[in-house]
Amino acid sequence: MTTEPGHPREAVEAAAATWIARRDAAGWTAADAAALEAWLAESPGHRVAYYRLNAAWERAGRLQGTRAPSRLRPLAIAATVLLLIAAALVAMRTDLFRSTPDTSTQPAVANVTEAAPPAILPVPPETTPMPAAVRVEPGAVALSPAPRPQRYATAIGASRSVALADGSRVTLDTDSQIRVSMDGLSRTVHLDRGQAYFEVAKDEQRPFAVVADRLRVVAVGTAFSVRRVATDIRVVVAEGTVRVDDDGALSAGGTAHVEGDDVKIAELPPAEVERTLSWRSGMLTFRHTPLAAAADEFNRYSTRKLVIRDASIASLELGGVFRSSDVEAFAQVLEGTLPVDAVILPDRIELTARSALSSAPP
Amino acid sequence: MRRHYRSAVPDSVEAWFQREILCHEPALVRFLARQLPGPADVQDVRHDVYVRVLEAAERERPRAARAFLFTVARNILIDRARRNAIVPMDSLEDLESPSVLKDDVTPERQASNREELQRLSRLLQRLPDRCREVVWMRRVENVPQKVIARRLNIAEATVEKHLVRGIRLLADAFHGPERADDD
Repeated sequence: MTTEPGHPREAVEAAAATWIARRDAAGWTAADAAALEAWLAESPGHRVAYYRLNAAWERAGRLQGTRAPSRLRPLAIAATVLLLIAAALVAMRTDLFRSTPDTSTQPAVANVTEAAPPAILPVPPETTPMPAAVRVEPGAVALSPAPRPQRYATAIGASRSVALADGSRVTLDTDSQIRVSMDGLSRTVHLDRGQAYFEVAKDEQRPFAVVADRLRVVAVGTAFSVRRVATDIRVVVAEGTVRVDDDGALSAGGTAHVEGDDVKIAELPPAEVERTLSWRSGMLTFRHTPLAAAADEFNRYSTRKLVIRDASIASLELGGVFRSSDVEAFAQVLEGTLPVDAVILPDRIELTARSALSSAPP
Repeated sequence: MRRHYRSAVPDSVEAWFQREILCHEPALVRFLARQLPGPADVQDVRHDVYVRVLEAAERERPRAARAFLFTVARNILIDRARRNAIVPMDSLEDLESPSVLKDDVTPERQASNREELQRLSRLLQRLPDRCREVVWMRRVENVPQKVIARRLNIAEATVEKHLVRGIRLLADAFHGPERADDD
């Protein structure tokens, strides 16, 4: 006997599961969301069932980006044919057609043998219905040789948008460099430095991986940014879901930040996501940002560096949206809003604590 | 090995419930199974226990979640036994003893995420064929229901039926005790 006579547990669980199925489907409206909230509010039994089912459903999402066991891929044959055609097209389009891959990066050959992480699923690679022509044993020469990684870089203050062979688009921030390797089995981008925003074309047969130092982000069909400035590495997801280091899935609003040996995960509200991505439209957004950090960020975009001369002003907080290409304007705003003097020199801009003589009454 | 951890954000009751209560389901189910005749009773009482725990937690978060969970479980079993009035007194004493907590493995050991992915994959394999296909396509590959229906040559309503069943079976497998026959 349950605590709610007339609402047997079975019916409640079935209802909760139906809500979850509909919630994630197309055509879910605000009215539907309100109805769900109302249903949840009706009784703690509803909430229990929903929380419990939702917990498992959410965790199952971590499998996104992994490869399905062979018996779950009814369309694998057709997709494989398409892949071969696509791989051939990629090989024809690249002007670097070598039989030995670039030794500076291993990803092309390495990924052919790794593919999607087959070790995770209890299905040996031999059962994958891939024609022998595409499966490459270590040491063998690929029949469709992997093209050498393509390198793209931006100078300080520059920005660049690159269309990749698979339909993905990468927007490079200032002072950034990536190396792109794509073949019939995988798509990999190495972020050597800087910041890049990835809009990944959906290709379930070829997960899209971004590697920044030891961090690996795998996407299926998403939009996200990866940042690597010195030892600071972070990921922000704008759309869809990515998998970080095989360790966890990040969805829209999710962010991962590498701190030493740890990876810290957090959720950002949409406005915050926009803030971290405003560089794509040439704007830098600061909110309660210490002056030192803001200056460091501006300095990525400008060869004329901001130099803080007085330690006392380094932690003053500022906020606002600034054009990344206009460091002088930024310095002027600093003078107007903080007790800071800016001296504009040919090769740098010096920031000092406003002297007593020149300080205006607040 | 890298550790992933969530930064501190205000904790919703849902998050608390998922993190602090549901993780004890294997132990709870094993405990209930010793006292109840059949699996349906176990699931009914499990649900009742959770409802009482959630109601209390929504008023005030209990400090020791696991202990609170098992206290509630014992109380509900005692109520039930008294209602049925056929259980001899010494069995009730069994329920009142705290030793039931000792032989259960604490779930604090963090499975590596590789292990968790392997486990999730195993759990999905246990679903009935159609359920599994639908759940995989919907949850892992993000295929819309309409497209799933087309690919499997079934009605959209049928896709939802399989999905609903799959969601429930997945939750039972995910939260419940490991089965001896796991591949």
